[in-house]
Amino acid sequence: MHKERISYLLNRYYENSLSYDESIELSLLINETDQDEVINALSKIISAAPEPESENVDFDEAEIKYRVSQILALDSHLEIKAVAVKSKFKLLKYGVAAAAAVLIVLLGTYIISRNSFIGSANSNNIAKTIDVQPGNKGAVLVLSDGTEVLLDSVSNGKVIVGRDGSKIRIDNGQIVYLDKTAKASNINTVRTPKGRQYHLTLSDGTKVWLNAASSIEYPVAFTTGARKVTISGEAYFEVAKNPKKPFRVNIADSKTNIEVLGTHFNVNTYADNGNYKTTLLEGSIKLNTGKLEFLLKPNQQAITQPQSDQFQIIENINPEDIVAWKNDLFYFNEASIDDVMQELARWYNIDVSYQGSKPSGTFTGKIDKNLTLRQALKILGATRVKYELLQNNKLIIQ
Amino acid sequence: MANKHKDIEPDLIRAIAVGDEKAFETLYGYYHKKLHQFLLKTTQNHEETASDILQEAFLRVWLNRDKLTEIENFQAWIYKVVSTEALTLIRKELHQKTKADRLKLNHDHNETAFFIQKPVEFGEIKSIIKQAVLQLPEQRRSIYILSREEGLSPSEIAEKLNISINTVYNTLTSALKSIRQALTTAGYGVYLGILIILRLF
Repeated sequence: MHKERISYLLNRYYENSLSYDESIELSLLINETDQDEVINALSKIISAAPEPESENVDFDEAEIKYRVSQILALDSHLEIKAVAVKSKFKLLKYGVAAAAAVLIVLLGTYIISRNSFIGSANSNNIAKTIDVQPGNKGAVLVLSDGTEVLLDSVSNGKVIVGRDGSKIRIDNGQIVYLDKTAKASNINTVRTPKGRQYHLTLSDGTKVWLNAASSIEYPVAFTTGARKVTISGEAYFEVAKNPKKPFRVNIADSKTNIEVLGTHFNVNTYADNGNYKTTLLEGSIKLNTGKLEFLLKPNQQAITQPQSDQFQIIENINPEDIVAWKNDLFYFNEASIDDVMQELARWYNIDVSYQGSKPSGTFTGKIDKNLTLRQALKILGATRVKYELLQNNKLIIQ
Repeated sequence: MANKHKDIEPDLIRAIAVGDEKAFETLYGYYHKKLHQFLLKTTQNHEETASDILQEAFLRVWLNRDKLTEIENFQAWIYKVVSTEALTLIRKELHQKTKADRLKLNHDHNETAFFIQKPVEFGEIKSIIKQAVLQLPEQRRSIYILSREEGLSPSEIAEKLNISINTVYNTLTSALKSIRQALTTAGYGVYLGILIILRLF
């Protein structure tokens, strides 16, 4: 006898028309009634509901693929090497379309401009307004005793003596340690502030490009065992081959590390969206997040998160887009306004705030990093973003 | 479309039972819209919670895949699984609502308890499963890995290892049992509804 009443009340509940008295009644009835009967009543509500119209089929499909790939990843891709190694990419391949689809859909369906907007702004009529100069080459070298040395065009060729007496010379980005007694195990750091990027060569010949607001910690010389460095921010590596000394990149403040088997790759750990992006251009690398391990193939990008097991593998990445930053270009591929502004903030050393609702839609294209901020904004402005640039490097997006 | 699905559903389920990922995705895709809609209403349009609950329901399907063929009517079964979850949410919601009203408080849907429920810890489950697979006897482990890591079908595994296909089926079933046992020991048994099939049918 409760049955009909429960069905009635549950239907009202799902129609959002349950009165207060009915809420109490339903609450009591649910406690008095056999649970299976309540579940049966709910099942009938599901059955009776009309097949919903899908508002966005692509989104549904991406959501399904994403959720399914998470489930399937639970009991596969366990990195157990009992049988063969080649299996590693099976699941990843499966996840690729899903990952790509999720990214595209989640970033918004309204793409403001699909055309490249490689910038060459005309600077004639903006001379007297407030502007911010673009970033430049440069970094700070921190010696193991804490001495800080400015690395810029001025310091090139100079001999610098540290507090502990160690001598170094900067030769076009190569940091030469003149003092042979310096301990090989001494850890030095090269750090770029906002608005600076830097290219250096490590003692083993490995080339490293540091993007703005990034750092690398490395030993003065690599002696025995693995060559270990620690980075933050974004860095591009061209690792000198040495099979006897594997190269390992640790990502600061995380359990993530990258074991390198001689190769070119880019690591972006700005984590603007909580994501680390590791992209392989040449060779092979092993990415380990502490929980998951991937072998990446060229032109694959792994998107991982420092604190979770979520991951995506994007296939067919265009390598030039990934290292655009080191070639003095901003590269945006369906990037949100947040992504774009975080990138600009790091290079122009500005504070960005928003007034009113954030512009929707995504940005795709390249902008020359040698432009002033106002010139760069002009190019973005062409895609209908309004802004106001104030003194003290403050930018307001309207 | 609906009729067509009903026709192929038994085949899909047989394929899932032996580890066919594509079939699993098809099944998920078929039920996604309707169940997601229902859960959205249950959670007062809380997108993430609705999606998580649906995903957990299908996580149970996957971890119990070897037993799926024992279910006579999959649709009725998955509706019950989702309804069971919905009932838990409704109970909490009603409790909050009547309590809040009694206390003359503003009832804010976004503050109700069930939205804060913890999502499944995928990382932890994965590491439990990994440990369980590592502890399988060698032959069993190899067959499981050929299936899940290499994506081989049972007949391909049988051919590769020169064993009977029934041995492959039985091995995959016992491997899954070991995995479920490990999850139960770790306290995930009830959570993942590993017993729910027995209870509902």
